[in-house]
Amino acid sequence: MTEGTGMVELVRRARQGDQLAWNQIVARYSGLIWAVTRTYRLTGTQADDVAQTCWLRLVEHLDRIRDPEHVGAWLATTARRESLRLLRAAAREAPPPDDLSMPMPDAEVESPELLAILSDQATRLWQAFKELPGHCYRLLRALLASPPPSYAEVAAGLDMPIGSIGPTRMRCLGLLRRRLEAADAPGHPAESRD
Amino acid sequence: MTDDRDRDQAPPDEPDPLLEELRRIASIVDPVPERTIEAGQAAFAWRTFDAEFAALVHDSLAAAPAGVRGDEEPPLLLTFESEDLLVEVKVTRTGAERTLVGQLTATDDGPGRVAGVEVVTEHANGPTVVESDQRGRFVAAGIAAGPVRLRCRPPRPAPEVVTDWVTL
Repeated sequence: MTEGTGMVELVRRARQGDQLAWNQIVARYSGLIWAVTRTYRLTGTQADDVAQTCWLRLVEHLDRIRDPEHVGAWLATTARRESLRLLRAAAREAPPPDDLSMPMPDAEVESPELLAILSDQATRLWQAFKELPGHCYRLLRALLASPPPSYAEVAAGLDMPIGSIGPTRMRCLGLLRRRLEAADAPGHPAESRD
Repeated sequence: MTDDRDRDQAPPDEPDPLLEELRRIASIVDPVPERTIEAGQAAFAWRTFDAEFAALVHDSLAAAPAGVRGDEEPPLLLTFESEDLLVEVKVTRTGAERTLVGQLTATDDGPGRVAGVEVVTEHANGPTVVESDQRGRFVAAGIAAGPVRLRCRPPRPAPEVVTDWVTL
């Protein structure tokens, strides 16, 4: 695949000390790491720490990575493990976070100003997305990484079988569509708008 | 990383307009902060050369189940191992500060010396430099929360040992 081949070349150049190649790797996968930390409901500071650890680790592992075309999955795995470490460490100091299967209240990471520029329709869609069951929210949030991740990368970030991603994605998007349609149907309480 | 390349590179499902609209919204309301990308780019400068690498071989947080609390807080224990040196660290947390209590041990087949080793803790407010005592013990206090690693510099000619990064 072009994507994988391009990444092999970028890793090769980064190994030789090419900062610009490194920056391209960072640009390609920062969104993936960010999305993985979101699925574990980390705060912004925690997400920054995880991202930084991922990149620092990759710098030191550049010469040891055997499959440069899988560097995205390697980063997603590292982001998942570090996210879980932080959650476990935080659980020792504070009440444990709600079960990961619950929907994520991520008001603290979304600025009201940014939400305000969305259309009403987009706002309703985003709200309905956040109210999905936890397993749907997590999978779709990971898939929303920009640029779009491969299923192998999502599987690594969520520790779920790669074969279940397509079917789960289809079911969760179906559920989201039905909820949006129900909210738009006449007579439904959700139709009344403030 | 998986070796199952066929499945890895299977074409993803057809683009879904609803998913693409969500991706557009996510990039507006929850973008990767610029500071995060800049920090990722800057990580490249931390690449080390000519040092022995000590991998994280044990992590008590990786072994513990998430969200489970006992009556007593179990200590956070990390073990890094290189060819010559074993670095064991106990981490205590006070707010955003960490204290590392460490023990250096020469591995069986290595010539590593453990006394008088300069232990450099690299962290956001670092580096913090301490020296191990005659029995290879060291204490590094005031370590910032976030990514941390240790560089152990024994008296020459023993090689410098650099541990993996870990979020503390």
